Amino acid sequence: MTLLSIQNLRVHFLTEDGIVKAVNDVDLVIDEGDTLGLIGETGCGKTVLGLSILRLLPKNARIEGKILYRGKDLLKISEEEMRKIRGKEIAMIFQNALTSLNPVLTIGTQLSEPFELHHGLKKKNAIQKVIEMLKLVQIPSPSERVREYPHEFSGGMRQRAMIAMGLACKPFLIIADEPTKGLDVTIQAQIIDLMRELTKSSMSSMLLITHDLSLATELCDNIAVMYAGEIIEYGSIKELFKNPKHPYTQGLLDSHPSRGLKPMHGISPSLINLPEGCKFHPRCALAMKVCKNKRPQMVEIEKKHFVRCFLYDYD
Amino acid sequence: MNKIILFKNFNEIAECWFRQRTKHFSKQKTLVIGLIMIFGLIFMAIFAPYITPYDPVEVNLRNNLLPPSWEHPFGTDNLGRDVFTRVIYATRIDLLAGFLVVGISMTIGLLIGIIAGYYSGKMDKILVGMIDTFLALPDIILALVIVSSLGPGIYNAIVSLSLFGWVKYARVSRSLTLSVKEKEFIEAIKAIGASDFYIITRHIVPNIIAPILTLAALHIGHAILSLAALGFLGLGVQPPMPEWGAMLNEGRAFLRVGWWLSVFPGLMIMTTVLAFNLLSDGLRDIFDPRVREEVIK
Amino acid sequence: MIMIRVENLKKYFSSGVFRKKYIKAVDGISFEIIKGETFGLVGESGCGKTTVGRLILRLIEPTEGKIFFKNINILGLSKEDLQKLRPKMQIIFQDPDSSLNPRKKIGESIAEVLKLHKIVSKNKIKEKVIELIEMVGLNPEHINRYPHELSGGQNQRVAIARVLAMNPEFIVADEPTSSLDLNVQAQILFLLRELQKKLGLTFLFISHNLEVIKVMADRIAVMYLGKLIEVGKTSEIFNGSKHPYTQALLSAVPVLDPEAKQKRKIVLEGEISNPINSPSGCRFHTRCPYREKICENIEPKMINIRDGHQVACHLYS
Repeated sequence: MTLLSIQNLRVHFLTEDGIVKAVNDVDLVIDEGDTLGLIGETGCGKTVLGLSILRLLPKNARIEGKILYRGKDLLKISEEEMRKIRGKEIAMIFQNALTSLNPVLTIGTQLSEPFELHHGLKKKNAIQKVIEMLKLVQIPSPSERVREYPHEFSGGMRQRAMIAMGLACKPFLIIADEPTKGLDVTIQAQIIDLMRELTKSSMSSMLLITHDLSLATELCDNIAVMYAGEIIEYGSIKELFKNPKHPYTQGLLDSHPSRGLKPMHGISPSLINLPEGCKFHPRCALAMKVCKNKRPQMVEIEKKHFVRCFLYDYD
Repeated sequence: MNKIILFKNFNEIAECWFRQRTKHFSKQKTLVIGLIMIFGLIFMAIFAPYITPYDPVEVNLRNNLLPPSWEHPFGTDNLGRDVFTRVIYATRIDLLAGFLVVGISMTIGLLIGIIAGYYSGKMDKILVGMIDTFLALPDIILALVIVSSLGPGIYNAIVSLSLFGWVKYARVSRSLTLSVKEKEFIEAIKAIGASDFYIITRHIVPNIIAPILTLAALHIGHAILSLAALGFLGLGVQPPMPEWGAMLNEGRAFLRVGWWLSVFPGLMIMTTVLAFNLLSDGLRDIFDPRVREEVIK
Repeated sequence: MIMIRVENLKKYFSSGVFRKKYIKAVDGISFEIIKGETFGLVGESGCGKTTVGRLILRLIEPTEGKIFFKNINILGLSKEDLQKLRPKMQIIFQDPDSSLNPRKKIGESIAEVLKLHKIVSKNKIKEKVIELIEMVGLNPEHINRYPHELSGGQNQRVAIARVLAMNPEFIVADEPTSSLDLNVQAQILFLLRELQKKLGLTFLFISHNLEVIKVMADRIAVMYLGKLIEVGKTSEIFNGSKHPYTQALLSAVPVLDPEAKQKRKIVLEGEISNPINSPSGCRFHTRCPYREKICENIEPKMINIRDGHQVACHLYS
């Protein structure tokens, strides 16, 4: 059953340096209970994509397309309706827990906000719920910890508190943006296990936004690879790692330390000055004449494995 | 496909294009206006004798208290002197004094602040104690005390204003030094083997000078006001030397018969302070290297 | 030839005004780095590895211990002699965007190093800067750019060029790719390996990323809360690690193979202890699945297992 369907999404930003084309013609589908990984480098537009689902973009953003969620187009509903969905049905776990938490409010106060806002609970009862959530994310001595401030928590604990906040209302969809960035390996392992457990037990879907391939392997069922604002490959995790089709995906896998650290040359294009035709062609060893002028379409080469590349597009 | 943009509204397209072309102009605007005004003032100060034919101190009692006219655009004062001339000659004194006060204060303040910030420890604690003590005292009242004990006169006024003016530079440069000192590129240059003197002069000062200069531009306005205040109280420049504050004071007694004696000097003070404030605002934006290169282009 | 020898190195930071508490960032470590090798130093936050890097270069003064660079006692040198030695021992920092002066063009940043140490004559400076820029894979036209105009990866290349300008023999690479994307990381690590081969450099490679260390380092030392707990050849450590912490660390690394998702992992309980309140005895005992009574009281000493492989753990004494 499809939970979220993004169709023809385009997000452009109006800035002093020009028009930043962060997201261009993106189609994506997330099923119920599915964990989708959105992989890409810094500056490819993936965070913008995540934010646009929750309509958390700044004023200078221009959005086009559809984001269908349970029969509604999230881009067309009123702000009132959107607010009811945010935090309750679709929740986001942000990248840097230290800057996403208010330093002058206790953890308890902040984490009880979703309960107070969406379930109308009184402060006292909300705090009880918070303590339960903290126990769920394995934070020791939760009843004392609720009175502490974010800086008194270690990095791993803060991230867990963020996850608790995201999961508080048992949302249908969790958008996690680099949830383990900057965390130590052993702590990361704990967080990965935790997230896996929680999503399985609550049957939530998850959109995991990351550049860390190994993290994606651990948690995701399907992967969408993003480059310069476009989705260039999509498939199940097994397919993608066994059989990557797009030269960029192959290059990304090869540059992983465990696969030999073979780097790809060049850097990603700026979202203001995107190249013509296929966005990857300036760096592609297999670029053909057509790649310079025409933009390839998404083609299904195997069951549920899609690529956007002229090597496979025979029209 | 790339060329298609989402802006249905023609206004938005135009707005984006316009913003791109003028993004740095608005930041330059204040700087440019401020600079034009200041150059105007400096020009007036230097070429005073060529701008006006009158003598600023010659008494001409037959022409006293004449209202503004073609021959006397700002009128004459109670001693028959042309107010316009006196205002222009006063520019020399006020501007020079302002620059001197700020120059001396800034130099002392920078020195003390950087040393305190760079070499923390005992040295820092002593200097900070000194800075805090001075900060607690209101500068103009102190200046008054000093001037009244040293005696009135323009040089004593400058000295007393500088004696307390350095403190804010010291405090700002100390905290800026403290934060720059911790940055990785300072650690990098230390690892490369540079001496402390090299690090301070080549790396710390350039990275903190921007807010300091902005502060200085603001301070000139303030110094001129203080000088004018001292002059107003009769403690700065002594007659017959023209100085805006002193002129304001002298004009008080004749307010009902000759409003122009006080109003024009007052307007000059206001204009000058405004010019330096604009300069200060403009400098603040230009010092960011991200903006600077565009402006220079 | 031994390039670096460290003996019983300690660095205690004091905190608090009235009741002085000591943060034992580095608490008595000893190791050697052989010329031409890449020695990896691995550990999580709070283990002291970053401090070790800076101590070896004497960017901070140790509390106790000895440091030798090619048999020269670093700690016995005067300030002038130390400045003269600096070109030979250099460091590459983690965050490339902040290790360069934001107000200097990158060409100037590199030239400044050449001028400071009078490496080439004045008229040859521009030539040498271009040579260095090309050596690190950048386009010479970049010399007139400011750091904020370049990407993280490009800035890191500039930082490397600056270090190479001094013809160093030993380089401390402190998490040089931790803030970079996967692909850029590969580019930089590839560059470092090429440069090592070409110029015969010796590296101390500090990282918390085990996958990177596996590929870059010849020998590895694992640190925990200021102590070395295991040292050995890379292949030995990855295939037959002895210390429980090392084993947990290795099993925690996410693997790039979807089929291996379900393998059993050693998940440690608890948080990493605070270096102020280090546990007594073996520092790791509070989280160790094999702890015994002796571990709570007596600190284990480093023992040779075989062939350069050392462990500090009561399981083997």
